[in-house]
Amino acid sequence: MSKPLLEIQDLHVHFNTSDGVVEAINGATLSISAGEVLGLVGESGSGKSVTAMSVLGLVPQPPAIYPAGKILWKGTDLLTTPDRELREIRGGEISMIFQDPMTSLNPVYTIGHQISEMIRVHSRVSAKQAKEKSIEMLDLVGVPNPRQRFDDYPHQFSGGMRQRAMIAMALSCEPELLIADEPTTALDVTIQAQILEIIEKSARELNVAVLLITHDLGVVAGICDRVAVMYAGRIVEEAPVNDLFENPLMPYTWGLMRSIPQMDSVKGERLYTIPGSPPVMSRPPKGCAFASRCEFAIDKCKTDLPEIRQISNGRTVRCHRVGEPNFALSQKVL
Amino acid sequence: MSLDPALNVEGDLPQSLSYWQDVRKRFFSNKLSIVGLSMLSFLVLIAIVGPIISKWSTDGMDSHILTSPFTFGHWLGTDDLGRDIFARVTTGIRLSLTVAIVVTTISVFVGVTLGGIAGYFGGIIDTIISRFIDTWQVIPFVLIGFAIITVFGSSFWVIVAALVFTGWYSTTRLFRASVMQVKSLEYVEAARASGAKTSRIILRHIGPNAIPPIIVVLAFTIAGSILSESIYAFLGVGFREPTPSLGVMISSSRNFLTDHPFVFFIPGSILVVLTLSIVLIGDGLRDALDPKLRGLK
Amino acid sequence: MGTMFTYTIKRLGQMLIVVWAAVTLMFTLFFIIPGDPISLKSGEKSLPPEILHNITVKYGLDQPTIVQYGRFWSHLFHGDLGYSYKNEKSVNTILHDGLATSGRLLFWGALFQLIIALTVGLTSAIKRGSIGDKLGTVFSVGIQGIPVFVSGLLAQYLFGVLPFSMHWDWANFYKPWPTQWWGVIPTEGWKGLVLPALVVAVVDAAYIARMLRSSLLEVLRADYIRTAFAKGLSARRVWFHHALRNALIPVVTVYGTSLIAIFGVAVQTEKVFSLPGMGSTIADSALSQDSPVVLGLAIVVIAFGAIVNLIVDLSYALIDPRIKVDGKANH
Repeated sequence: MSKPLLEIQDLHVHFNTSDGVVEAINGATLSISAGEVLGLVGESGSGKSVTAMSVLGLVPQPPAIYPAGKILWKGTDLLTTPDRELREIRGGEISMIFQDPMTSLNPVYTIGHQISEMIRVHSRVSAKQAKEKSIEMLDLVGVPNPRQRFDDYPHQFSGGMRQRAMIAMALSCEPELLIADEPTTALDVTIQAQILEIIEKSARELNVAVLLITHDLGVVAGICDRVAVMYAGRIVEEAPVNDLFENPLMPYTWGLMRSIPQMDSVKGERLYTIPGSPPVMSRPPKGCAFASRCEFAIDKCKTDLPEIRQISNGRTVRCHRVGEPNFALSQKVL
Repeated sequence: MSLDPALNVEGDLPQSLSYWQDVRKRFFSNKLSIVGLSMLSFLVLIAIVGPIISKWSTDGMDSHILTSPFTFGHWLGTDDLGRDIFARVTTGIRLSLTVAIVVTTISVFVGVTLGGIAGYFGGIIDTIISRFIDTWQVIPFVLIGFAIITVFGSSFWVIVAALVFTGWYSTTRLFRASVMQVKSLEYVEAARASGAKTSRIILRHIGPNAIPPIIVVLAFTIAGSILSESIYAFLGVGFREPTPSLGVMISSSRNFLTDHPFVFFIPGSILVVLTLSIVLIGDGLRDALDPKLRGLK
Repeated sequence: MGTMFTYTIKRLGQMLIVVWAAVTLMFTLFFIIPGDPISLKSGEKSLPPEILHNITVKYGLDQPTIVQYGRFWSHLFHGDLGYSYKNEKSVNTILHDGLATSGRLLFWGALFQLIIALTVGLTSAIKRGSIGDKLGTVFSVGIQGIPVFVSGLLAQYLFGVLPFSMHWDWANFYKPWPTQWWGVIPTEGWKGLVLPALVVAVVDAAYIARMLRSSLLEVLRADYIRTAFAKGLSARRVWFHHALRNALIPVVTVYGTSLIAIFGVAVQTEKVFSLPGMGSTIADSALSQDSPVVLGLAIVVIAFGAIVNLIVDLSYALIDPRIKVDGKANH
């Protein structure tokens, strides 16, 4: 494999709050190569969004502090990059779309203005060229009558159309990485599929790597090449998408899979839920963060933090028990 | 921003308080509202006991005119007619507060009634009331007072009426807005959908939710009335000499600003402290009552 | 886009109705229960009945109210605001005399207000939590409790009486300024105006600055601000292009209200500084129950307020594209 575009190494993000320090990210390690679509899944509060926003330096400091870790973009650490250079990377090389398209566009400027603005910040083009490029981008993401809609305000767009406009904007400067933070969560189910398809199609067309953040495993299964599972501020398992669905290794991933409703499940059978709730991040546990909820936990899990281990090509896991001779998750899954 | 509420779970939840306990806790943890409350309590106290313990009357003239504070038995000195400033100032606080409370009571009553009707029923009634407010709004408040006082002279009740006429529409507008907002809330719609009577909806559902804004408006209307009353008095269209109104006292002090500034500074600072204390309490109440801030730091 | 045009016309129509209603309201107050021009003229003396009759006829007070009302409007359309009961001067002349002073006071007051409000509001939001921000908050809370006439007298004391007794000529607004200042402050006419204009400005400036601060802080938490940063814009661009315009939307309303209320502020300031403006004229006329003068000047003030309201509404629509739609979407 070629050298990765983005490498997050042992990232720690803490927040100083009135209730003490919240350790939101505790050693997240992740990498993404050119053109790859990587899914980052986890429950809300697991630190997915903080990780993603840290890449672009969008987490306000204070309250956030970065006690350790690196975010390497083509070899340079974004955490220590001066703001001026970081601004060129934001939008130019890495761009981002957000969860709620209803509030992510500025209500007082036209859609066209907001896309052109981005183009003109990153390349020396005339207003006219920027407009043509914007219209072309709107067309690419499937906004009908892009030339007329260019002058519309966000409130004249529907939610799905706004998210398309956000994607058009994000891709307008031909970035190498697109970070999509729960891009479909706020949308109708029927629109969700369209938006995912647009992301996937345009990303492949323009050869853009995608970091897709979601809590929805269905979304991941649809378009991702590889998946990383995040729990309590750490990546606990990473695998090619098919391997993960066929054979989850980490008990948490296994639990997540089991809690998806299945078409062929027996009528009347109760849906599986993972017992307990995630740890309080202002007092993170010493050992594996999942130990208190894990059916397979042994004493070691509660005291020692497991290291990331490579299990096979492209598969890593952070669990003491995976690989033990007689350890197997129940095969009841799927 | 990025801290999910889900981070805060089990065992770490703050113990839940009832709404009013919460309001009280927040109000009393606000330094500025405590300052306001203590200033106001002090002023109310001297307004009550001041005229009783002072051996001077408000209009008794002494041969010592414009004496400095703490001379000839005058705690705060005398004015240009030899009247005791302490006696006049403490009576002035009484007068200010009395006028303000009467005006506020009437304004809030009018506001709650008209605003409630407009907000709840909407339609043509709302249009009429709203247009009337629009009309009233373009007339600067001093003009309304001038007009009323030009025509009716300046007795206590005319001044009260003038102040009500300048203040009624802001309470009405605010109450109308809050009723409309509460009315569209889902649980009120649910109550209506389940067939609750209008009177029940107003009393049980809308009323209690519209109380917080009323309390805040109450505080600000009191402060505003005190200010307006003193402004009218200063301009000569409110209370007049020899009534011991703070505005009258300040107005009369203008000629002595150069040589005897204390005749200005004493009633002036009392007026400022009085309004400011109520504004601070109002600010504190607003922050304490706003449910959007509830539970947050 | 014809939308803006129709919106303007609609607003203009509403404004005219409101002005008509407000003027009628004032007229009703004054002439249903009319002040008595006769006693104003005669003082304590009793006049022969024929003179009384002549005066009544002259002011049209013998006519039914509705005729008086019609006449009032017809005069108004001819630009005639009426005549004083007291000295028979035309209200137009009185207005003309006062307008220059009040106009200058209000213009500079409003300008100072805008400058102070924007500077203080922006800097305290950008540098929130700093000592300057905290001082600003204390100041703007404090000023709410100070009526204008008290701050006016205080200003007079601080910049007139105190420097005089302390021989601080540089701080004294009532003495000619040192010649080296002339480069900055051009004419002598300014001297008497700066202090009153600042007094006019400062009250609502503090309030508007606070509004702007909180509105900006609120806007800065919005998702579209995050988007703007993610686009790679500079902080300055995000602040001034994306945040400020949104933050101004609620502030514009407040500014409009404060421009209307500025009249009340001006009246007090003119009285405190003994400026011969419209405000002090109205106050004095109200004192002497000279209804035509109060009414005539009031009409001008009301019209001014209504125009300000209209401008605020229109600029609202310019700042916030969602307003134009007025409930109905374009599509």
